[in-house]
Amino acid sequence: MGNFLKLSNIIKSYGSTVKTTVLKDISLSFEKGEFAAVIGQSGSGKSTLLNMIGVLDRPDSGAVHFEGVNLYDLDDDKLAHFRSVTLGFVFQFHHLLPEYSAIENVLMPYRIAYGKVTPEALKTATELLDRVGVSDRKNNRSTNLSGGQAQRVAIARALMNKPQIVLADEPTGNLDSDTSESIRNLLRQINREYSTTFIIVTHDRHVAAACDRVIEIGDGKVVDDVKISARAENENWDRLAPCYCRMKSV
Amino acid sequence: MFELSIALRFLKEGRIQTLLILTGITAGIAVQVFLSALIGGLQKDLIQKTVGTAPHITGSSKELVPVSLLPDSAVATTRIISSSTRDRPIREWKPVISQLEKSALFTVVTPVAEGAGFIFRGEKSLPVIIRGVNLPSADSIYNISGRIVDGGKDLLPGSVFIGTELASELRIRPGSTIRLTTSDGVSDRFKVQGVFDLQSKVLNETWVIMPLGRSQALLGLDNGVTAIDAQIPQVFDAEKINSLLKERFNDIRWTSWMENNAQLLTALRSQSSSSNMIQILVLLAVTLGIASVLAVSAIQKSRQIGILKAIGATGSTVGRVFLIQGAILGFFGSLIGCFAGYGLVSGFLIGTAGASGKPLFPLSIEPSLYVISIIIATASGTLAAFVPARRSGKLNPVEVIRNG
Repeated sequence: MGNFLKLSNIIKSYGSTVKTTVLKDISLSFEKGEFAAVIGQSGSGKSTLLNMIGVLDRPDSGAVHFEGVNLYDLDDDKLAHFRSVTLGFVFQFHHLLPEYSAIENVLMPYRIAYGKVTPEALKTATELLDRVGVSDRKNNRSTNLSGGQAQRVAIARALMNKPQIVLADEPTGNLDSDTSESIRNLLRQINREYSTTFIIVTHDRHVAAACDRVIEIGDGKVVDDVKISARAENENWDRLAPCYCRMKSV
Repeated sequence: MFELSIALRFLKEGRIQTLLILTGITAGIAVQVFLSALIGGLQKDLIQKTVGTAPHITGSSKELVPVSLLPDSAVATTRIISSSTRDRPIREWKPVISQLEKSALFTVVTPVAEGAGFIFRGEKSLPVIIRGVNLPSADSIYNISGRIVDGGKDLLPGSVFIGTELASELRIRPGSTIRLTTSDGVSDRFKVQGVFDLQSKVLNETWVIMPLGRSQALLGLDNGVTAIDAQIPQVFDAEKINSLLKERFNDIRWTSWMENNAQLLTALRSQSSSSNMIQILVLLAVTLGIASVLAVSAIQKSRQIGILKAIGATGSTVGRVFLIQGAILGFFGSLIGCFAGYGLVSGFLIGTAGASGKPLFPLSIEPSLYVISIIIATASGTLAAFVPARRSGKLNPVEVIRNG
């Protein structure tokens, strides 16, 4: 395991009177360029895990090291800066800013991190919109985009600052199957082109099956952690089947 | 600036809300400006009428003329009583005046040699106050030359100015000769040079103005003066300067206009405090208006704030977005409010103007009032945004993302 991204003994609980421990001593490592899926039942703690990696929330104990630095040793402002330049977020509900157009939304992380938009940044944003296939909608308000278009814009936004890690929480959870497939392919292409590390929380077994690695979380613990790229595809399906059988019944 | 552009966009997108609160602030500030102009104008007018053409500080001798020790006799007793209430003249007045003139505290300092007497014209006689002045400097206070309504404006030796009431009572015209007798019985003849109207019945009835040197001789002051009159730039500084004078020249009795007009001052003060109270309430309403609009906005925009924070905006950045919104609302609301207030004031001036074109009563339009209103409203707006800003700064993006 490399030194790229490492979670050590993460424990996180919520609530003050009744404490619910959501993550129970989770340790994981990710390598640069990895395309990993985090699966598990609802309430298993997978989104909380993503929030820990995304330094949106602090764990009760444990550490998240990125390139050897414990992120939770940094103050809130430095964490915010880390989020803006090193991480890209894709959420289930695209979470675009309704006051802004598609291109302005894509440029937002750049403005947060670097201030004034340069011509190069504008060019990058346009290229990214082109890359995700919505360049013809770049001046549309985000409220005037379809679900698939909005999610593509959100992906372009996540890539704007050329992040090393993209964290995606149910990126296809709100989309129809055709759109899901194109988004899935898009994420995979970006992963290959830019060597961006992807950690995708998903219920979608198609997404999981397309990943190099599948981590299953259950009851706040890592239940299973498999590298599946080496196996044959049907073997992958067999491997994933028990989990999805459980998920389908939910 | 990133925060400014976000703040402007939020305000622009919530334009109806923005417009409503701007209208509210505009109305509040317009009322405030109008009220200040009205009350300020009234006060200025009152003060101008009271002390505009009167000394703000007067110095007179501390000592009375000692009581005569003459043996009892009817004549002597009369003289003693009258003398005992008279002040002893200030003999060293010249160095005092020159020192006061050198300090920047006074706009004008002028000596007065004053005493009681009688004016005789034919068979008629009336009690008067013989007032010797140094006309150029006395004019700065009383504007005597400017208020001569009949006759010449030059106060030549051996001539006097008298008031309109006195002139009509005694049927005196400029050029007439009158006789003046002091309370000490010294008497002399004078030519009436001009007739003044000081817009005060009492002064027009009693004052007989003559050159300082002549009155000193007539009143037997032996180059002394009975009072030093002074005006200062800020009338309300009178008490402060008065006490400085009391310390510095403690052999002279100094009194300020404020001591002599305590009732007027109490009235002015209560007027000021009621005006201030209204202004504070207006400002409070403006501040609460901004605060409530921004509090609603902070809740409405919590999703956007959460997203911004998730993609790297710091708590202080989103906090500043709200502070800037508050400042913008306060600044532009009060700016428009100032214009509206100016419009109200101008409308009032035109609406209440009489045939002469003069308004019914003056309004004081001070540029500083506008600047202060804008500064206070902007500061209040920023302050009002503090709570929503804090709340936004502390918002946990996870909550927003989780709930979609």
